[in-house]
Amino acid sequence: MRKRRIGFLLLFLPLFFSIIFFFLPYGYSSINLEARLCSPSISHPFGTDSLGRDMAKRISLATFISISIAGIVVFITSTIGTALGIISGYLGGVIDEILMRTVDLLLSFPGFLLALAIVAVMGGGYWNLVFALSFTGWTSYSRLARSESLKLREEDFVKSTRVLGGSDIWTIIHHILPHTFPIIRVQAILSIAGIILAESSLSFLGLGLQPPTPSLGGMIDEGRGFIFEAPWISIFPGLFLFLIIMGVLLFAEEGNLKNEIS
Amino acid sequence: MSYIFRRIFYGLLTLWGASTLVFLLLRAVPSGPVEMILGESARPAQVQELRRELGLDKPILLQYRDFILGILRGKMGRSLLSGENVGAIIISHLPPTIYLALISILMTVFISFPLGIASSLSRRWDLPASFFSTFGLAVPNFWLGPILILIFSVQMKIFPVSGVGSIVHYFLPGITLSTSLSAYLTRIVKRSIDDEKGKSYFLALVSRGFTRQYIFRKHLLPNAMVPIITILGLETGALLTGAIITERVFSIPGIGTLLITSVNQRDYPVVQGVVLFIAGIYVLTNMIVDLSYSVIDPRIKVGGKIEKA
Repeated sequence: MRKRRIGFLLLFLPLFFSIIFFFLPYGYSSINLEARLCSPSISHPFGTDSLGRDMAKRISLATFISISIAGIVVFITSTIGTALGIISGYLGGVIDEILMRTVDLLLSFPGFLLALAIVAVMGGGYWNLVFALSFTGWTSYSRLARSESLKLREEDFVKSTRVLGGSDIWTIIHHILPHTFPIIRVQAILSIAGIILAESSLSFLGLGLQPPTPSLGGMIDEGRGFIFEAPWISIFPGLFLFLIIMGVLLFAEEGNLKNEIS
Repeated sequence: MSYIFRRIFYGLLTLWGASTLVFLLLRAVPSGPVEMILGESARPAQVQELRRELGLDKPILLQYRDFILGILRGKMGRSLLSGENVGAIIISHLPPTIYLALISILMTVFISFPLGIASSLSRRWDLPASFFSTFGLAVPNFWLGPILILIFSVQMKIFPVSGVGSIVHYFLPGITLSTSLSAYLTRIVKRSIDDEKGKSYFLALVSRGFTRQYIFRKHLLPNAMVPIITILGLETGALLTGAIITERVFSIPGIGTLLITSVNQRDYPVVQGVVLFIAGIYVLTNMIVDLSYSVIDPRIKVGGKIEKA
């Protein structure tokens, strides 16, 4: 429980500052060449970048964008993954075989590489990123939901429902689905960390969100060229990213992040 | 023996699946690769020319046959820019990536084995190890890299900022890449030794009065190796994708840099080749790892069943 509280605190910090800095009176892409590479000060809390844009405002926006991508991807992948997993585990047979071979195939490929290949041919941008990250993300939910429903199918209360004349759909919705929720929820929280990391990695490589849309990974990349004279351009976005991911990991109290991104 | 054949067959099947996926991916581009390469201002004659060169004017099944046959012959097409053979380009970019991968694996093993074992055997090491593994998993390597450059190259001037040349150049990239890998492996080492300590043979050995060192060396560690090796095998995926990012941070001219530059130049045959190459390495290492179980744990050869961690 202590870990959970530390995680919550770590997560709270970047979110709190993102909300505060969102109200800074600068445009996220308004260029001001007179104020380029300013070090952190009262008027520019995180300094400015090479085009004089306010880093705090950009980081604030990028944090919200990252979190929204993670939210949408988690929603899509958990819904599709759980549905497919339950159907395959509960019904079994040919559907199960086909689905599990597909999952095996996708898992035998490093997920990040596949996402990279997809944005490489389709181009970057918000919705292409969502698609690329969802494409491989659903497999872990399917595996979990499938093994849970395989177990549940043999439970007495499920058998009783069927003896009493409950249809497949009724049994799935009223008995199988509620019992898979706890394990799916843990997976969903954990995968937020992996998705945020994958998204910012792609943006760092220049394949994710395209300028002028601010992204935490993209800003770290921009800052690499100014690491001598303006190290804050790289440091602050990375710090936000680190706090968010560490917070999520501690909050979920398990470090299965690697299974997600590799 | 039949187990080994089955595993190799399954590995080949995955490779075939991976190449089919890559083949379909390139044909699924909304506007078609040719239009993306030439841009909107291309003349129809130009488009026709490039389509024929890439073999895109043939029916899709024929294209597929040529693609698979090409891979089997080791020919993955030619670069659209330089006209060089894709295989040759990949091989020429290979050495820096191999050095980086080897150094990172060495560092990972040297960090995570002592740390994982120490934290499993003594309570004093538990907190530092747990802190390190959470930290390592959470810190993005494309952030850790610039920070290490800032501290060790800019401030302390110990290591070079970027580039290749000597082993010194690979030290910071190695740390960058191995931090997240060893964070995870530390956890696995600790967990699998803890698992073995919970089994009854451990209690039996302790009660018979064997020394802790003896039990650890002869029983705990060998038994804990199977899940550890599995994870090391799975880590190749993270290693290779992490190398793509690390190479960019430290400007190392390896496979990852090749992939990103060819994506930016829309040199699709090279992109296709590199993606296939990385996927192939990943599938192959996992196959070798699975096969090596029978050497580490003879029970698996008899049972023929793999229990993954």
